[in-house]
Amino acid sequence: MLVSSLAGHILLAVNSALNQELIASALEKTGATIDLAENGQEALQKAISGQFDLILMDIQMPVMDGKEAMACLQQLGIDIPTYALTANNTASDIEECAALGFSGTLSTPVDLTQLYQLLTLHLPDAVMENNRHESSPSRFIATTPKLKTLFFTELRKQHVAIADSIENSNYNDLIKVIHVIKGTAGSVGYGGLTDMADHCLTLLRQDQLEQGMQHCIKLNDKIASLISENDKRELE
Amino acid sequence: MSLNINILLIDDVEYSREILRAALSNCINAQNRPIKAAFYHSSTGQSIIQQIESQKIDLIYLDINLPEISGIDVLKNIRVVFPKLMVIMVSGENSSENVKNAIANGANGFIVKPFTSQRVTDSLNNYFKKQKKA
Repeated sequence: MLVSSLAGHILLAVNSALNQELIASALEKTGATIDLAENGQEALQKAISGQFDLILMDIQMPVMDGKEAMACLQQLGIDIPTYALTANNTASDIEECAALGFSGTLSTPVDLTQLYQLLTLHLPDAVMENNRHESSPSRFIATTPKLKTLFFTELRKQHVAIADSIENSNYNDLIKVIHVIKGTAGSVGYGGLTDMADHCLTLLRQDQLEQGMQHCIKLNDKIASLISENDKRELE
Repeated sequence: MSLNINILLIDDVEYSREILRAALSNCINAQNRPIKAAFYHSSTGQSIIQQIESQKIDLIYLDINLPEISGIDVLKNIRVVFPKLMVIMVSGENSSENVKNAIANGANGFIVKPFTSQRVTDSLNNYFKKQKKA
């Protein structure tokens, strides 16, 4: 079977390390990328912030089980095909999972033929996926001139605020400003800035202040260069 | 017949509201039927109940990280008076605490900043789906 030509993202939430290893290695052969979650709560958080084509989820998990996670996904309107992994897969299991909103069930140990059938049904073809990325209109929000002006007006203020906060070692203000940058830059195509801001926040929140400050300085340098690039473009 | 929808954006950062508004406008224009959308905004969660009533709000995007009252507390207040109003939480952090609180207080969606327009489109489509069912 030609399974190595798939693309897309799978979220795999399984309770047992052995099962995780077995299923993940089978999934990796297809060319899809895999994100792991150790319980329903983590799966829910990842499903909220990531873009997945398919979720495979154990019913029995610590912290939050698969049934509760499914109920939360439904409440939030997250409509990703989700399959339950069940040990028994009896008629009543299948029925219950369907009622909860699962797209279907897979019995463990997982049958590879069955698994690959599922994947070809839900994952994009690698060739088509390449084309999709090249012409993807939906990744970022279209930047209208008004948005762009607002973005750079804000960025100038943020640049000054970051410099002030660094000078005064005002960590609270620093976190506030960088939090806003993290939450906005990526939406208008400056994903690199969002990643840098995220890294700064992680360090500052873990009280790794010295390292955090160094990253904040780097972030602010990057902001300065984006502002001057934009100014040059406007002059042209 | 055209469909009217009144959308309230609650976020203390003007720029965040503008991004959301741009994404929603794109999505509304892409629908294959005429939709008249009106956007309202608030930079705090205060006096929201009155605003929802006077502006006949149909759909709310509510930032969790607000000054004064948190978005979660605003959601609680909204739910007392409007148990069925569609409220989408918006946050920079998908922390377990934020997600748990949003779910427990009846949020109808959760989008994480910086959001892609796909996520915004999904949330709006969920609103239209619910309207159809009702």
